[in-house]
Amino acid sequence: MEEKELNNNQYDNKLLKVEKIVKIFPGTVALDEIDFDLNKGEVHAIVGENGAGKSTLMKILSGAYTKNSGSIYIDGIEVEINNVLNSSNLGISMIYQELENIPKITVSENIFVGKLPGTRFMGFVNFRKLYSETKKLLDEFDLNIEPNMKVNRLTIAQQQFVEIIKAINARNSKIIIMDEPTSSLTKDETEKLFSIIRGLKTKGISVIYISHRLDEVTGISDRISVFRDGKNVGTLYKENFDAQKIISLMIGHTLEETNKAKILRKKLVFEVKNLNIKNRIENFNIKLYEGEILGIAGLMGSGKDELVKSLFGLWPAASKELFFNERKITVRTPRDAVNLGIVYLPEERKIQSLFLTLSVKYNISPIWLFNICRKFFINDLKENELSKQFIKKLSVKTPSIYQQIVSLSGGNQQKVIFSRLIAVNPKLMILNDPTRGVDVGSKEEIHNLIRKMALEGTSFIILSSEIPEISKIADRVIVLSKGEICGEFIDEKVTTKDILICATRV
Amino acid sequence: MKNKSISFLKNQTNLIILIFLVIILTLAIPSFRQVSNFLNILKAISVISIVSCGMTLVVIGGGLDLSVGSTFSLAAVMSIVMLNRHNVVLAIIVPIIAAIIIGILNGIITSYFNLSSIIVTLGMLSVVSGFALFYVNGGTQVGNPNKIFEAIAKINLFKIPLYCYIFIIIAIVYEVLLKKTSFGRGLVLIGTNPEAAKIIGINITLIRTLSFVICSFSVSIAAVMLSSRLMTAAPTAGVGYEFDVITAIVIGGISLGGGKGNIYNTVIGAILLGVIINALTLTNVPFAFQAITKGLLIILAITLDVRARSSFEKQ
Repeated sequence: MEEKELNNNQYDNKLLKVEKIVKIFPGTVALDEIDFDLNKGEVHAIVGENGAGKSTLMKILSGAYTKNSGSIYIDGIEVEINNVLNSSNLGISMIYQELENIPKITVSENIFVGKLPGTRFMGFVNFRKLYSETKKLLDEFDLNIEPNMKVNRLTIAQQQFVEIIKAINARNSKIIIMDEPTSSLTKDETEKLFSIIRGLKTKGISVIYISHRLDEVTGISDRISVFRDGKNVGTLYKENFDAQKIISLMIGHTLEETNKAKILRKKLVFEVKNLNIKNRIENFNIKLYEGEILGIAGLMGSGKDELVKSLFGLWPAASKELFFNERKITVRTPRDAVNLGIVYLPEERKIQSLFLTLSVKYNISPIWLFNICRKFFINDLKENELSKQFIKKLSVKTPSIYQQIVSLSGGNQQKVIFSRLIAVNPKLMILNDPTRGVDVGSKEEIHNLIRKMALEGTSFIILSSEIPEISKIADRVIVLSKGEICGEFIDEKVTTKDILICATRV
Repeated sequence: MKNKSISFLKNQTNLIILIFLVIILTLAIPSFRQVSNFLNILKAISVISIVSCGMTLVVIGGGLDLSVGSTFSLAAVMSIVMLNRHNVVLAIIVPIIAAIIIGILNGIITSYFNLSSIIVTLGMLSVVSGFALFYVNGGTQVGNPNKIFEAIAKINLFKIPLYCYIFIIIAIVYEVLLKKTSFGRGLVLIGTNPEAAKIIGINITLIRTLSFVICSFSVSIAAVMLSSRLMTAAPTAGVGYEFDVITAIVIGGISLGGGKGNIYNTVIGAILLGVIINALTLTNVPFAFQAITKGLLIILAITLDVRARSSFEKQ
């Protein structure tokens, strides 16, 4: 890549240096000889598509994963990080998206966990000192948080701030890793976070900042590294930050399918009017036509998950009006939706879809059994026939329909779930991350299946953690940001680059 | 072929243990091998097995019904009271209706409010046992002689009492319900993964409630049978019953985690338990030690169940 600007001698006080790290998971190379470094008192951002390897590298640094090969240096000395304790002792702290503060104890006890100030008498905790020291620390960062407050009564943002202070105080961390820290913060809270980060810098603490929001990243970072397919494809310095350049690095030079066929939008199938979800979605309206594939893109915290869940009766909505084939419908539970011919593919296959201990057959038939057959006695022959038919149609690799589903590969499991949904000839399919954890071959097959069904008249609403997937299969894409539609792309206008630019603009 | 027979044997561990146990006991204890003793075992297990069969459905659906004991007490005293005050028909019908109402309450409270069935039925245990005591003012009820009502226990077909046939019929009907109907399939799916079952639109409230109703119904049948046999009923008749029932189920290899099991295994478990208790009684082992044996058996069976499950998860 011509944008590569490594080996700049201006930065020689390397606090952390990562060389040629390789991490292999069964079936995929998550990190492919990746290089990365961090200076003292620097904010170094990492951006990249989902699956680019950002989280994997951070998990290696924080001790959750171990690397297959490569080296890590801290202050020029090679170190081994085998577990979370190693990492913590080396001064690395990770602030997770799901916070790990101990909720039922106070702010001050959290910040001083493991090193509570004692009294001279018998090692009782000196609460007066604990309070004043906590107050001092909070004041230093200009935080208006009461030290004696129980942590579970703080806002998410405040909890995050406490977590950061805990990291530098209780663990003496020199490197703080923040993974999508602003996904659930308001604008003011984000500003506050940035002022804390600036405070950390003056103390000589370094921050690795992972985010999808390019505006934020360019605002706070000293350097930005772009990861793609497990490689560091370019590092930009503050002087050269440019959103367009970052995005083209993120996507790479893959050819975009520009000649998307214009589809006919004749028959209105599904309409959402005036959908409101508390703290998530504001006044959302959308129309969906027969045979149309609608993609919904958005970052974490954009509200897209809650949106589709509420369409299917899995998340409460403050108000919603749904029309199906121009008739008003009410969807209070998933059952209401399924009875109308709307099916949903949840994102967590193992937790929300599969009946792991049961057979392939039992996993294919249930919706058909309960919504098409509706007979008290099960017709065994018909059920077997149906299962065999779909195994063949979707070329599921399994020894027989009686095989336990847990023994199938991820791709084949997903094809079984698709069989389950397709078996009832749905009019509308809502798919949440339809190819997560699926091998490349099955992914292609699933995409083809979706297109074929769309041609035959089924409508789709698709969410995906990978924007290229959406731009590849969707006829129309809407982009959500903070609960509102911030962009819409139709037919030939659907391109990864435009969607990404729209979604990452805060 | 070889694999198939091995896996068949693996699934029949309980049957094999049972056969071996019966052979050993037959050789070791003279009083065990008498025909009358086998009849005694059958009579003893019939009552508890009917309840176990109902409980099996609840457990497969991912629940547990701890109120079976007190429902048993209530149904038993109601049966005798109805017999004395009214007639045979009410002596059979009223306990069944009362039990069904308890089942509906158990089912609706747990599934509609999404609560743990252990807690709800634990509460119900106390409520119903209090109600049973209140209903008869704490006293044991002695039934007036009634030929028709006594017939349930007294009539023999091929030397086997009528109520033993009722047990066999119930076991077969429940097995068919479980294996061949959408209700049974729904239970298995809900027990395996309630969240997935909800997302595909299965009516969890209806199916779960139905399983609790069938369980309570089974309890009332068992209670009426016992009342007919003894012609007396105490409001504490069913105390501790839930423990025996769960022991039989767990020994039968039904996973308390839900989603797995069948009636056949429960029946084998109940027979195994019945044979062990019978052997202990015949060899004059004091009741206290019988209780200890039962307790150890349940711990052993649960340990094996949990180990089997965790080895599955590792896979």
